[in-house]
Amino acid sequence: MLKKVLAVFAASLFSVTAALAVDYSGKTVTMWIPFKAGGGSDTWARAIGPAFSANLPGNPTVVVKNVTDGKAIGASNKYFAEHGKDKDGMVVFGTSGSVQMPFIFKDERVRYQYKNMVPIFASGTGGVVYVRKDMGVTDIIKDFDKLKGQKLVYGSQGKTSLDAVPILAFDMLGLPVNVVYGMKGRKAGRAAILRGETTIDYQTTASYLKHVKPLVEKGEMVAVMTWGAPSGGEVSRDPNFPDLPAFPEVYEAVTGNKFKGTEAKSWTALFYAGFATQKYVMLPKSAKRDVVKAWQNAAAAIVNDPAAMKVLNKKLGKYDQVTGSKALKSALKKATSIDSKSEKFLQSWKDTK
Amino acid sequence: MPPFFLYVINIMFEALFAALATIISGQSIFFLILGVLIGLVVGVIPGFGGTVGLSLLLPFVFGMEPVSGIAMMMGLLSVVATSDTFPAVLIGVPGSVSAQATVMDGFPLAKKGQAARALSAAFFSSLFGGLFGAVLLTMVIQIAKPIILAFGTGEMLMLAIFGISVVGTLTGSSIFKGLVAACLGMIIGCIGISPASSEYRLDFSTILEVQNPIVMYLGGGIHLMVVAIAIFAFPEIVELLRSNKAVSEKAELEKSGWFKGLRDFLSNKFLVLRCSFIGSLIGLIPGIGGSCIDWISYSHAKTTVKNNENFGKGDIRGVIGPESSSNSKEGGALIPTLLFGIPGSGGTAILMGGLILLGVDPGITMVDTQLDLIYTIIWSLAVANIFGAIICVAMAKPISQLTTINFTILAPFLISLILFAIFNSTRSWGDLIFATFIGVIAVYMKRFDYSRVALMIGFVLSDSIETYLYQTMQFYTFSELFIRPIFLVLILVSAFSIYSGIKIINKKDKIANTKSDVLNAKSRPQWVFLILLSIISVYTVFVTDHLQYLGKIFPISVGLFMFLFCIIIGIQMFISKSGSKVFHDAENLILGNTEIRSQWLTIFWFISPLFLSVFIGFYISIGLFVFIFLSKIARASFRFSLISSIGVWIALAAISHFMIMDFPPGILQGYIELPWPIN
Repeated sequence: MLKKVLAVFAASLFSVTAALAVDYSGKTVTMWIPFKAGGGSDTWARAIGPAFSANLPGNPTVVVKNVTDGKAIGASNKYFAEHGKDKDGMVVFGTSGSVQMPFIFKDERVRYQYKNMVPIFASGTGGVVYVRKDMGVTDIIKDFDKLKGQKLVYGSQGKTSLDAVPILAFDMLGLPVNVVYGMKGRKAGRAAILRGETTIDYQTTASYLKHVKPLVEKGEMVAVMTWGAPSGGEVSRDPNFPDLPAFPEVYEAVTGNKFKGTEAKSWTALFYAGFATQKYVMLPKSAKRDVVKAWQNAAAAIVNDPAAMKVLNKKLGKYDQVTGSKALKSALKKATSIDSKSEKFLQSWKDTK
Repeated sequence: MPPFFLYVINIMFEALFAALATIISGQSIFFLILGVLIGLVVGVIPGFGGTVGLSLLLPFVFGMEPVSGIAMMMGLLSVVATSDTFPAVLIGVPGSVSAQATVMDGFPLAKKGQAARALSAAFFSSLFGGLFGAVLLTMVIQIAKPIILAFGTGEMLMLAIFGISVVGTLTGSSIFKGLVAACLGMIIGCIGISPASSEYRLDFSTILEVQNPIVMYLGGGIHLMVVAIAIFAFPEIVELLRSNKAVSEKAELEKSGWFKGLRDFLSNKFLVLRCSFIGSLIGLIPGIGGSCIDWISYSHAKTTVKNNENFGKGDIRGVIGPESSSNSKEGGALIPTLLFGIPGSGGTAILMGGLILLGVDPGITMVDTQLDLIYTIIWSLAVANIFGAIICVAMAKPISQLTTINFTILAPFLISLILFAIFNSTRSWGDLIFATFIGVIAVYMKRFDYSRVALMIGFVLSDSIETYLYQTMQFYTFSELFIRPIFLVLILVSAFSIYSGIKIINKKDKIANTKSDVLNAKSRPQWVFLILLSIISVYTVFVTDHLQYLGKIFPISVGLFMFLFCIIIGIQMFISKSGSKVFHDAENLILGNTEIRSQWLTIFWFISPLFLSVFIGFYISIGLFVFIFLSKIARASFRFSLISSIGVWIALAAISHFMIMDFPPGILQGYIELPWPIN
């Protein structure tokens, strides 16, 4: 018993000294964000920046650097070219679904490798699918055939963007959705369904709660399903919307098949990359162990601090925040690695109309 | 009136004045003025607009008290479109996107020594536009929903087509040259990811390896400010440098500048009103973007006033029109932002980000639950406009003195400023390289009278036309479209716009044929330029041919049309006698004037700091360039040159620090580790 206590004590002492060895006092730490100022990822980074500042050893100033040179892919490549071998953790990388998706779809331009990264902190979100009231649907499972018979139009940003999740989901359900491309972001998609030009749409949790829920309450729109939320390796109902079925559930009920196989695996990978854990703070693998430890401790401290989380939740909506080396690694693996069969499937699916 | 309505109106006014009291009392007014001051500076620096300015503020806004934060952001956003007129009028460089059209007549006025008049007329128009936007916002915020939703993709397509149709009224004397320029603009607009098929287009990936920096850069598309500065500022500065004079052709500026500007404003009050309305209306519709509003109102001003022959040569109404609309659009753009959380412009997009950081969620519920905050926003807009206009009018006269200084002295500062502004677009080497390339084309476009405005409009609307055309075809059938009243009205408006364009061109034809200043000395440069343009069009067709149908149909059609227009110009040139207007060559006007510097020499000066940067990095090279240019070419004293270059270095270092921005490194930095800011 005494031995055990001593061991724990020694271990905690070691981790404390290890954390103490890194000191950022008087320094400026940069968060490299491959997106322009004012967007979702930028807002996220600016919200967690001060929290990291308060919890990192030495309380460094944390600044956000928006790198837009060559868009998300180019700016991410640039991070790896310039800071991929850094040891001191002075410049950390903030990614999002738009960085993960081209990686999954094997875009030739991508030069970053997730296996060379150590995740520090991850934020997830969910998505809610809703239709116009005039579709006459209230329950997607019961009214599925009715929905199938409607003129279904979805406004999309492009098949290899985050919209791969909804488009593949519609395909898997066998819904005859006419996908119209060229939308500039989800906001444009929402505008189109408000005008009645599209009839089915989804929004991320935060945007849904702010902009669509009031319409659902007024009876102009009907929420039909969510993408779900990860729990114990499965994708199950989103705790934010316990009354709405998650996509895998709808799939099983409607098609009669188990949510298994290549299609389901591919969709799950896309879902992890785009929603479940879509935004990461990462360090290059070359970072010193003490540095990684210091950052991971800071991340854990943020999540454990109710005051900090209250601020974050208020600014960003209530998302899951993932910390802890093990949980993060498995989340990142789910979000960025994909078996060769699924990969092949996605490559050919991408090229079909 | 039923008592219920009186009650509602009463409540409204109470909230309205309570909001005013919140704004002008306490610390909010301090933050508002702070925002105004930052906005004025941001507007004056070319390449910085409301978008950049607001993103600078975001980190400070975080954690502020909401009303003060709103006041500061609105203060900034409301005055950028006012102060961006300074560089547009004084040096012919738009300070931000919303001053593109102001250059057209503002700069010629400055050349006539009337900079102060142009500036103050612009500020009064801008003030009125801003207030108009605020009033409109107040009145319609509660009822605007159906108006905004009535503009579907079909209507947006027609608005974009209407935007293109104004090319006719703005183009030079040759309609085909204007059309070629518009096609070239659309081709530049096609660079990057295609909207309908998400494929990379025209990024040289057919020739170069995919991860080549040029391919990566072009994959992101060319930024609006890169094109705007290259197209307008580059040729003007080259020309001014060649003539080695001051901007103003008169040494003495005209007296009573601002009073005259006020008189101009008052005597054109209906024009101001109409253009303010246009600005707010188009700003109201999210999706069409603010960047073509200026051109639409400029064209409106040109077609609706009497005696428009002097447009483009320094007509004050060409300044008043676009300035009224450029500021009124912000009020319009705020409506969809606050009502749906769908921003109507680049500036309001970031404003929305800031509001979210403040804990204010713009959206459908805001009108019902947080009307007081909406009124705070409206009052901030109005009060900031008044402060901004007062400060600008007061500064108009002293700053106008700049136009009497010999341009060669100003040039190194301007060139540094412009290169910096271009680089700030996406902060990439590619910005500088492609700006230079487009700039050189623009020099020749100006010389041979290919309309640069047409190129700009084509560029700005390229994406809208392609996207909305495709979406409209997907969303509607023909019969559905033709029962939409707004769609039909917009067709009529576009048809009228094309008609007035033809009328103006015919009139120009007559004038051009009676003038003899277009005599051509040699036609070879013209042929070379035309062949280059044809090659671009053919290239576009060939390298987009392998794409999906949806990805290639637009660039191929534009390329084919451009080629067709090139052939028509070629035929015109072939059959025309020398001296015909198709051979317009501005070079002939200055031929034989020995004081003129060579064209290529001045272009070389412009890009020499870039060559230098390749070796020693952008930061060192700019200061060095200022020093060498001032002491060798402008023949300024050693002391003045040294102080100037150190000044430029300090300014750049400050910007680099506050904007968290690295300058492009050179070969030197690749070998030796250097300290900030020269790393």
